[in-house]
Amino acid sequence: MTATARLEALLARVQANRAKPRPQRDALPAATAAAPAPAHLEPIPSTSFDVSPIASPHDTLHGMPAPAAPLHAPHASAPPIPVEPVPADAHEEPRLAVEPVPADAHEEPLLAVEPTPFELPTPASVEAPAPVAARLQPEAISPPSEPIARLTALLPEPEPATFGGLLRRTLALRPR
Amino acid sequence: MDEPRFDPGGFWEFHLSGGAVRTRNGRRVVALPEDVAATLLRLALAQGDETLLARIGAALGEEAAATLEGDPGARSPETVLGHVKSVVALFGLGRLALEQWGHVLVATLDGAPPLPPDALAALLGGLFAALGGRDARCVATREGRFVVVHAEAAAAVRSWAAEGAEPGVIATRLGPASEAAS
Repeated sequence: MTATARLEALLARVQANRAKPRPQRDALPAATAAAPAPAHLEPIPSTSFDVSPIASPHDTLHGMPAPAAPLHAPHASAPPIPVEPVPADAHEEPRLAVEPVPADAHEEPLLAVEPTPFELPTPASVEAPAPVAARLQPEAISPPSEPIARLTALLPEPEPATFGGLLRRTLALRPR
Repeated sequence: MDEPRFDPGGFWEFHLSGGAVRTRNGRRVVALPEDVAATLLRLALAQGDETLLARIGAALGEEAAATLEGDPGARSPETVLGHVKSVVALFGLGRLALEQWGHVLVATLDGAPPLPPDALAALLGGLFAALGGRDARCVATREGRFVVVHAEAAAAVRSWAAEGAEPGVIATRLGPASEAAS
C-alpha cells in the first residue's frame, strides 16, 4: 500500500466516525447544554501528493551505490591504540629514584693518595759553588784595614752624655 | 734635668711702627733677598774674609744658646741639636743635622742658600764656636759634609778633604791630642 492509499483510508475512517450518533449531554450543566451544536464540518477535499523518497547523499558515491556499511572517519581504519589509565599525579614530573646525597657531597672526593715521603737534602749533599766556597774560606777574608780596626776600637767607648762632652772630644782630635 | 723645648712661636717680633724685625732675644735682623745675601757673602769670601760668615754663624749659635736657658754644653746632644736646627731653619739657612763618625762630629746642611761650601763651612764653624766649642772650625768635604775640628787640625783636614777623603777616612787619621803628640 502506498502512502496515498493509506491517507485516503485514514480520511474515510475519520468521516465514518463523524457519521456515528453522539451520546446525549443531559448530565452537563445548563450553560453547557445551551451551547449550540457543533457546526458541520465539510469534508476536506482529498489532496493527493506524491512524496518521492529523498535520496541520501550517502546513497550513492560518485554515481555508484553506497556500501551498506556505515561510513567511518578516515582514521577509523587505524588500529586502536591501547591507552593506559592515567594516574592521578600524571601532571607531575616523574620522580627519579635518587639515592640520598651525603652532606659533604659538594666537596671534592678525597682521593686515596698516600703521603709521599718528602725529605730535605742532607747538608752533605749541598755543595756551594766554587766562587762562594772560596769566599767562605777564612783565608779568603782579608784582615780589616788599620783605619777600620781603629774605628772598631773606638766604638765600644761610652758616648758623651752632653753636647759639651761630645764637642770637646771632637775638638781634642789631632792629626796622627 | 728637664730639657727645654724650642718654641718657634714668637721667635720673630715684627715692630711695624718702627719698621724693625727682632728676634725674641732682641737682636735686630734684616731680611734680604736670597740672591743678594748670597752675592754679598761670596764677595766677602773671595776677599779671604771668613770673619763675616763666622759672625753670622756665631749669631745663630747665640740665639740657640739663649733658647736653651743656660750652658748648651750641659744639655744633651739631642736637645742642643733640636734648638740649633730650629734657629737655622727660622733664618732660612737650611736643615741642619749632626752625624758622628767615630769621635768626629760631622754636620750636614740641606737646602742651604747657594753658597760655596767653604762659606757654609765658615758659617758652621762660627755656630759651633758660639755653642761652647772654642776654636772650632768646620771643613767641607766633597760629598757636602762638614767635619768639626779644632783650629789646629783644620789645615790638615782641609788638605785631606781636598784629596777626596771622606769623613770615615778623616776620622781614622785623627786621634787624641796626647796620642798624636807621642
